[in-house]
Amino acid sequence: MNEPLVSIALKAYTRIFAPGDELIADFQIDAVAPHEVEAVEASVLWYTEGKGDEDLGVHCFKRFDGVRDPVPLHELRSISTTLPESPLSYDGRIVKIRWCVRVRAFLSRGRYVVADQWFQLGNVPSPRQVFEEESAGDAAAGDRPDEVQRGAKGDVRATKDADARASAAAIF
Amino acid sequence: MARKSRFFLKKRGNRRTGSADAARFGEAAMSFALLAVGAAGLWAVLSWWIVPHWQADYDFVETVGTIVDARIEETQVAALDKPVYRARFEVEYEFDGVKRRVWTLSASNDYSADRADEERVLERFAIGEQYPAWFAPRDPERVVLQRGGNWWIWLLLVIPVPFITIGARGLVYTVMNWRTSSERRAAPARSKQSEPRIAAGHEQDAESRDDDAAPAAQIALPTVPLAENLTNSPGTHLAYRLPMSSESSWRLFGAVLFCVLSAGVTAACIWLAIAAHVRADADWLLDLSILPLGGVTAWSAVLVARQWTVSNAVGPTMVEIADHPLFPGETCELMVLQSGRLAVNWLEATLFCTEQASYQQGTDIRSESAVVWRERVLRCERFRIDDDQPFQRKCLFTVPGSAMHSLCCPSNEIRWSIVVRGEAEGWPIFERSFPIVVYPPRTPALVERRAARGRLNGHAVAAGSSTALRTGTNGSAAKGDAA
Repeated sequence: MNEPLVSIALKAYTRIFAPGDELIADFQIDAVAPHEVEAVEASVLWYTEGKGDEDLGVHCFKRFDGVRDPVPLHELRSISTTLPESPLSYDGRIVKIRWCVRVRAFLSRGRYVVADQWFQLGNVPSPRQVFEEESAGDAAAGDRPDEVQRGAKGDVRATKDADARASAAAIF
Repeated sequence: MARKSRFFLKKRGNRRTGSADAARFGEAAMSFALLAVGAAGLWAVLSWWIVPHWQADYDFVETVGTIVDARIEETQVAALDKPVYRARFEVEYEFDGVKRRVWTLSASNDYSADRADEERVLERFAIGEQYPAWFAPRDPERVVLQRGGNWWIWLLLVIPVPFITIGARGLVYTVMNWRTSSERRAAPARSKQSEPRIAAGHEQDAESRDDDAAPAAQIALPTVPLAENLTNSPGTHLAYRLPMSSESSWRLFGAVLFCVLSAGVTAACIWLAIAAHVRADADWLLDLSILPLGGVTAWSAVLVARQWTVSNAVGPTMVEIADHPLFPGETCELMVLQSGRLAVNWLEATLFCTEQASYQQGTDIRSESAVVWRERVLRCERFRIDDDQPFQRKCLFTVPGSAMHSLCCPSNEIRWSIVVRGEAEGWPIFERSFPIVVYPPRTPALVERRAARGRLNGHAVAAGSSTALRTGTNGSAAKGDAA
């Protein structure tokens, strides 16, 4: 038996959004008999990845359970929301924040299928990425003035299993 | 090919393997088992102790009974593997014209492992003498010679009640969340959770969100920590005086607690050892254990002294800031004030950004941190501080233009702080941390609302009077002038 398909399409030319932008996503459930879909949930959410336990925040949530709803559950629907100011997408060293549109279809006999469509909120560069740019800039510009000592010696915090190169320098 | 069953399953986030339904069933079964154990324990406590004693104290009718006979009953308890005893008296009393004889003592007729205790109870009642007795009018065969003074039986509820609370809570949680997605669970929780966080802001669902209609003074920044607690103390030179992180106080408290506990255990061992020597019954193992315990106590005392010195011997450090919260790319004025009569070798202020993650590993909660930004914004060397005039130094610092904003989630955090470190002659290096909040980059809506808030609060004027400098440049920090 085929797995049901969940399609999500963002109505935008880019997957990078700014806070305050309008996000519109279309979604549809395919390869499943209409009567098998009992409910569909669509949400715009963020979650954390990395070392820590997962934190999850739902910015926008809609549930369609077919009650007083003329449109069959498996047909094309859309969700729209104005994106918030925070938290911004972030790819840090031990903390990462991902934004996505998540569609979860509840099927008969307790089954469900879920799909995510990732997008980026804001434009905060990864610390590693900026580190490389900073390193290149440093090499070209030479020494920095004394007042701004990036990567000064004398750690005030112990950093566990840290990437030595990254921890010794300012890396945004 | 069918997957083989595995003994060890990953269980974090999306990497979880195994059936979710089986996991929920397991949780429900565990909760039900706890609830059942708690309920059985509660029933036992109520029916064996609390209800009989309550009835004896408040429902029984007083009469006069004659002690006819007395004995000590003995029975074997398999779990204890030794006999237990209870004192019993044959009491004769009259009710409704009928004389009755009943073996009894108290409402619950408990056994004791100490026969001598029960023999002492026997001595309190003499055969042939008359004593007050209390009987149940609807069941005259139930009679007691002792009542009251059973407050301790209420302590027995301490055992079953937590089982019932944890089991019922787990069962209700499991049932309510059965077939409920994590998004649906988080959706109502989100609005509740963000209520205190947006005391200066508000957040609505997309359907009802209308920025124009939102109060102008409100800024919705989910997961960004509140800056109110950092700006409620005005500075003397700049707009705000930052509160110091309480971490060092907690470290000192922990060290003191450990030292007190260690000293207590050591003192108890010494007392026991002396008592044993006085009885000429010395326990050399106990004597020897005093040595390492004494060593640990001495070490913890040194630790407390060191923490105390670091916290209090060097005078207070204050940090004032021209504006707060901060935005990426903005330059702000900072002032460091150091009091105390000191000859300082060096003193520096550093801007820090740290990622902090906590995670559960088995039954432990562990945390890990990683520094992602460190920039020294001020360094002064070889100077003296007098009693009457604290050391004061202003400088400028810039929050990096591409900085991630402050983040506060249950398990993940991004913390920005100004850390002042220094070394004074004759003292160890001291370090004091002052948290700050960095907001996300300026967006039109945020700027507009922030300006509106400033107009409402007269905040912009206050910033001007404190020579606030917010240039909005993307450049790096520049050294400031001496105050």
